[in-house]
Amino acid sequence: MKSNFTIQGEVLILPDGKILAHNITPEIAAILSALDPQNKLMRQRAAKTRRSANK
Amino acid sequence: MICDFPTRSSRGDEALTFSYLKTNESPHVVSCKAERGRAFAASLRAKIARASLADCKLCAHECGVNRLIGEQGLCHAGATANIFSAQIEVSDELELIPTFAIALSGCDLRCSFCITGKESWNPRAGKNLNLPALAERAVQALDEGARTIMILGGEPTIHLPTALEIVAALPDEPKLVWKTNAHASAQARELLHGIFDVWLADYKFGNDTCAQRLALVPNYNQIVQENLLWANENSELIVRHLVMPGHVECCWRPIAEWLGENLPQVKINLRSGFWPAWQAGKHSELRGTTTSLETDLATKIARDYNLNLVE
Repeated sequence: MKSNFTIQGEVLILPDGKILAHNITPEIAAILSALDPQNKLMRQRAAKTRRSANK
Repeated sequence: MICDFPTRSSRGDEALTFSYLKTNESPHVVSCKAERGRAFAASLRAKIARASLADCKLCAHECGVNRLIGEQGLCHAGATANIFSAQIEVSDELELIPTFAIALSGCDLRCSFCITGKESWNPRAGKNLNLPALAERAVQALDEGARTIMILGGEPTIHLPTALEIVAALPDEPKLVWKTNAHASAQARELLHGIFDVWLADYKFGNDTCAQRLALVPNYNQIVQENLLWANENSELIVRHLVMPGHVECCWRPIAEWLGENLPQVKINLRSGFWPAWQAGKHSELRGTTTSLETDLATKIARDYNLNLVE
């Protein structure tokens, strides 16, 4: 079944380069993790998604 | 007494009394049928919750309006709920994600900085609920690897009948998360008893002056604390606090102190990603983001009170 909703999340990039995000979908997590590989928490979020997808 | 039912934990085995029971089932019949599981219990309670909209006291504002005939309380919600998002997300606590997050439009608070202000302040935002399709999508999400199903808002308490109807349409097994502002009434808590595995509750303001100024809510701390203590007794509880610029000392410190004294083992998620959204600009201190100094101070305060921090 296709969702009735547009999948949505929001990302805010501040002038100092800091990135804020909410409603992070797995796809956004993958992008943010690639943008900032040092961000441990985002890496964990992206990894959880991959692990779940591979179940 | 309504729908006592066995849960996977030891909770949920006490009798519940509802003076406003309005289903056609006798309490005895309801109780006897309750062994049929969470979905069945939720379907019975949904009927009670829907009947209670005639004198709505689901949130702590307890407006007492008749939502069944179109009267509106402070949340402006009607008798039906709209949904503005239903998708797999990984924003929440690591132990809960991926989650299938179902967001209901409308809220009983008026947080000027609400990151979903457009949908949270307007219960008619989003789309009409298609319950069978939503349940099908939720099951599909579980198949795709979602670990939990989360019902949130806005604030889901104001749509308790719908939230329970959603639970009634789901399988009994998935872990269910109730993401809430912890501003529920005692009546709502009774209806929620034993239904959700995890209460993920926001504790936003550490003093009632800030709560009134930023969210137009009176007597905030007493109500939230009542809800948190109840949730901790009756489910797993995770408390969130979003660090707000200029509010570390006036809001976070008293919250941390209270949590340290009253809920010392509870998981606390200190969120640092304040985003000056919606009408935050009405308040000068909320026009920017939190500084690293504020984030560091907030973390130090959490450690000073030995809080059990999670991410």
